[in-house]
Amino acid sequence: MDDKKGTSSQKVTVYIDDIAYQVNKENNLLAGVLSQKLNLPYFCWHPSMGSVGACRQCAVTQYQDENDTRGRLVMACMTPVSDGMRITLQDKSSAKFREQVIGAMMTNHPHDCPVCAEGGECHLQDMTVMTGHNSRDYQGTKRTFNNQYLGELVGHEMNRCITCYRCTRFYNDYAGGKDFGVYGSKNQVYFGRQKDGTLESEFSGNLVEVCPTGVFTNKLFSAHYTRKWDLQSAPSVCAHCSVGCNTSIGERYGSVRRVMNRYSYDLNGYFLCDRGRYGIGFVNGEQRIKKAKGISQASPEKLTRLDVSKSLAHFRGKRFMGIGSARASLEANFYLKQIVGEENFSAGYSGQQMAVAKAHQQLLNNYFTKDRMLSLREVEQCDFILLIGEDLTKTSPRFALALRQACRNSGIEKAASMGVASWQDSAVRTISGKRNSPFFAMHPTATKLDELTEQHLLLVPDDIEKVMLAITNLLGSDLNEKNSEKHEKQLENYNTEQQLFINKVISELVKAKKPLIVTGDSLLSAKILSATNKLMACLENNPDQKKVNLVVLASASNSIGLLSLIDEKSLSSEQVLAKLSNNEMDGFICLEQELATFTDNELTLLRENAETIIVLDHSESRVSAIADIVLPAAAVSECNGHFVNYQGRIQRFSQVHAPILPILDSWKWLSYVEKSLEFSTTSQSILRKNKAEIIETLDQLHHHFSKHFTSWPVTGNVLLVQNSVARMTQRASGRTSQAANFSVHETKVVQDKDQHYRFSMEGNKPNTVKDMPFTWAPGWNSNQSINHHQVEIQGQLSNYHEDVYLAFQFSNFNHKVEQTSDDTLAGDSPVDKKFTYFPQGSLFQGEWQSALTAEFDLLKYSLEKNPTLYLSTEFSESQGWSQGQWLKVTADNINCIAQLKCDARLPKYLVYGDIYDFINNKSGITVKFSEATEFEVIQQQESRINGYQLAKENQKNILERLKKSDQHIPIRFVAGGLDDA
Amino acid sequence: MLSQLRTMWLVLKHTFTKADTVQYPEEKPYLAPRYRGRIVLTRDPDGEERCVGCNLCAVACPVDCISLQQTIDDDGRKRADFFRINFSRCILCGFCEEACPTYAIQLTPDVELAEYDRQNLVYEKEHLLISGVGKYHDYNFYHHSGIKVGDKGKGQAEQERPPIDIKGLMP
Repeated sequence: MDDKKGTSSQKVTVYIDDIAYQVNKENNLLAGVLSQKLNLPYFCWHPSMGSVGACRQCAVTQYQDENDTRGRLVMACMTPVSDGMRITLQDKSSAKFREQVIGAMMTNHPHDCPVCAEGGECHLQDMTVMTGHNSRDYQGTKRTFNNQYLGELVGHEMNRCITCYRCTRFYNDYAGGKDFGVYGSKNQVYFGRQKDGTLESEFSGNLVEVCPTGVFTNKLFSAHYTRKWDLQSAPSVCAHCSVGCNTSIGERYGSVRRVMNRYSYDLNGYFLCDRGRYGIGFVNGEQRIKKAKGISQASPEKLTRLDVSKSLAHFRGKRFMGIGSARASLEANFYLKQIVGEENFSAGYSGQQMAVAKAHQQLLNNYFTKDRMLSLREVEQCDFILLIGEDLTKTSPRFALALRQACRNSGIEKAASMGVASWQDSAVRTISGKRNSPFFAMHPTATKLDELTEQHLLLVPDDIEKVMLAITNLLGSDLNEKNSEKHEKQLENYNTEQQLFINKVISELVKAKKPLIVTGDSLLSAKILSATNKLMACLENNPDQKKVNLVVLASASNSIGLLSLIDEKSLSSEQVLAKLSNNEMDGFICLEQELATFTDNELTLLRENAETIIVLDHSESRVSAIADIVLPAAAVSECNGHFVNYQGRIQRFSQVHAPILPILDSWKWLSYVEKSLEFSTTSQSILRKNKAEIIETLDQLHHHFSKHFTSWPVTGNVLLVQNSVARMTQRASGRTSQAANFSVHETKVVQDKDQHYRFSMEGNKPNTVKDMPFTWAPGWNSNQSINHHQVEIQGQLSNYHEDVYLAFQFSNFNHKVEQTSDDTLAGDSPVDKKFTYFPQGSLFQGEWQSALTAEFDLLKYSLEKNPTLYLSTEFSESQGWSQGQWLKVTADNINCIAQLKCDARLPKYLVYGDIYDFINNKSGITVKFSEATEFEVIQQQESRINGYQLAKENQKNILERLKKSDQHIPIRFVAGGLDDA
Repeated sequence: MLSQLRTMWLVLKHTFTKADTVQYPEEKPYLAPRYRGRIVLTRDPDGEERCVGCNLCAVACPVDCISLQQTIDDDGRKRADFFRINFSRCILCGFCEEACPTYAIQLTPDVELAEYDRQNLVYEKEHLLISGVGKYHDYNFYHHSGIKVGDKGKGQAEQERPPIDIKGLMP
């Protein structure tokens, strides 16, 4: 297997219609045929999920040898490839068979295409045309079903089902969902839930893409619908976690409509999580900043460069600090750091977070200067997992999905030993049963991955560190002396459960062929990261140990990019505040940063001490509310830039559409700020020295950085696309009429100065570049056309080029960590009898931007699920509380009402829950609880109902506004700076 | 020589035939109902808008002069939020009518589409929508489609069986 390209080295010759093809021996015949870019219809097979042979659609005729003229019908997806095999796709009998299968499926298919959201990218439509079935023979009646309510994100239209079983195979088998299933028999098979309700899986949105027809539809897209052929799309990168899944964002009439999966061989493959798919809603939200604040405009119509420089000129000579952010692009962060100077740059991290960042940098320094962290595809091949302090399903959901696949490896191996190939999905699952690869986890809260673990511990971060130290010590001592007495002595401070865990981890870790340790920064515990460092060091020193892979996940889309800019001079948020109150600084520039680490009091203090606050952001935050100057920045769909994922992979997100002025890319705003203000920094002197260099595009900025700044962390060319690819499909409609209500004369299309992609249907085909704006192939309108653009099924993209990675070389620094009160609490010994609360992660509210999506608010206030608090069974029994009891939770004078659930696995003083609004979702806070009165419960429920209604209204208003704006398409000629009309 | 005479004969013969041209605009020629002239949006026999905003006319249009946005009403019916035809671009090819799955968009025999100002040739939905059924008198798309619309529930369309009780035990 050529791992880089994903092509098999084990090729055999297969004759398809008497032409010899080299086909991958390890995969089935259908994958082989499709790899040759030949057209063979299929439904139930999926490249990631293998074959079950349910739909009988991929029938081909196989011949015994060259003299055989009759042949026999075989299902390509269930047939292994063998050398010298002869098949035909063109003979009458198999073609007729395929047509009849479609014909049978269509007997019950409703006459819905005009009103179906799948129309135009429907796999069933494509396959029907492919088989030539063009008129209905069946004259009888059709069976019908009632639909279910599946939540705010996925629509259900069961009449359209052709029973391919892909949905349940994805939802239940692949993604581990529990609340979905298949009911009924023969012609009455029903795919849905036991009763109406929101789908619980974090991956439910994939049903839309997995379903070959329109049974499952994207509800948000349907509400403001357009056909796929009308979407203007651009390749983008998900802005909601550090995995960096590739997405394709679609726009029409000036508003973003949806996000679809964009195949990536190394990362997301064919699937996205719901946060990535639906979280884009924030770009259309009511809280978007569309006008500059604090800048006096000469003309009421538009803001000009002159206005900006005039207004900013007042602040000339003032001393500014810069606060970067993990959701801003690498360029903008770097630019800001250069402008204000490295000693005035802050990442907006608190002292505690800086310590975590430092530990993270150390890990990267120690283990990833030569090697790279595993990609999701490589993670799926691991056979031992130790997950430390990260609720992956909530923080990096796509990574959790990859871990689920890794857990299957032991079953796949067992099947392979019995001669069953891995693509034989049903057989492999039967053989493997409940067998999982060894998987161990430690986290303060229960997580969805717990069900896959061999053993998991619920522990506070300090105890997690203790357990890790024990593992490290034992592994280290094992090397020298196998002294069981010493062994026992090491473990005597641990309870039996922990001892069992430690012993099991060690024994499995030593056996594993490709072990993986996963950790992250979501618990904000530097101790866990340094304990990981020690563990890794110990494992590296052990000559008998197979190479242990480490993955460290970060919280935001560009956390690692920001991490690469943090050094010993960088300021923590406390230091920013101190500098302002000591009058060492006059103000600060806040780059797409909501300053989540500040409490409300600290924020007031910040405002009082800062003379000037300049904020660049796309959405209103508590910082923009108190700022003197707010500059409207472009959101991820409106600008170009790069994010660095957890591996250090630098990925470009491209502008989908030009935003309405004065919304501009952050770095363009920074260039105005840089020109108007005076900084005594090297950057400004460099920029002034090279005045002749025009910097108008991101590419020019890049060249400038790499030419003049040695600290620019990117080495290598990340700007390979030079092809001017069309963002629209060839069949995009309405060009001469969409703006005709204003002027019948057609406007010139927007010119993108970056010239990688064009805002029109003219330009090179999408498949001439690796980063395709959308995927399409002749006869294949759905996303499954990706088969035609891969070197081999599930392999690399045809126009693949190596991604560029950040080089991890951090100078070691010692950052002063101010011990916050939170820190000491987390390490409390049980003697103090304080309860430490940890929030269960939230898929939708867990990331600042996605939490602004209106539909996610509906889910947050939904009455389907009450806020829950989990207490140890022992304690709740001692209080005489039973499950379902309403409790009042108090911390820092904030009260919340939650329903009690008992968790027998919990240590007595550890508490967790999913109370979203509770103290900014902070980890490790001390809480008290008492029984809630009936009045309080009713009050809480009422406030939730109100919240729900508000969210519903908000959703309605947004839709109304978007529909209005459909007829007021902004006209811009150049997607450049402020004055380009 | 012979051919020249024959040509002369044919030309002169037409002196005595009835003229095909008429004195337009005083006199108007007969145009068949299926003649391809001004485009209208029709209603179904129940008086509801036929257009479901499926975008097929727009995509079929060779000059891209149709644009629209679909919206869903509270009763589940889909219709065009706006529907615009730029007649200054329209070539009256009739592809939109052929593409329309609901018989909503139809071409009429009205060919008088001249304006002094080109902007006046941009027709919005209010200009296009007529109150009649046009050339197709009895077609109602929602009677054939499987989706639930207003009073028409699941299994109540033509050629549909009542919805299956998935909790029933009968095979």
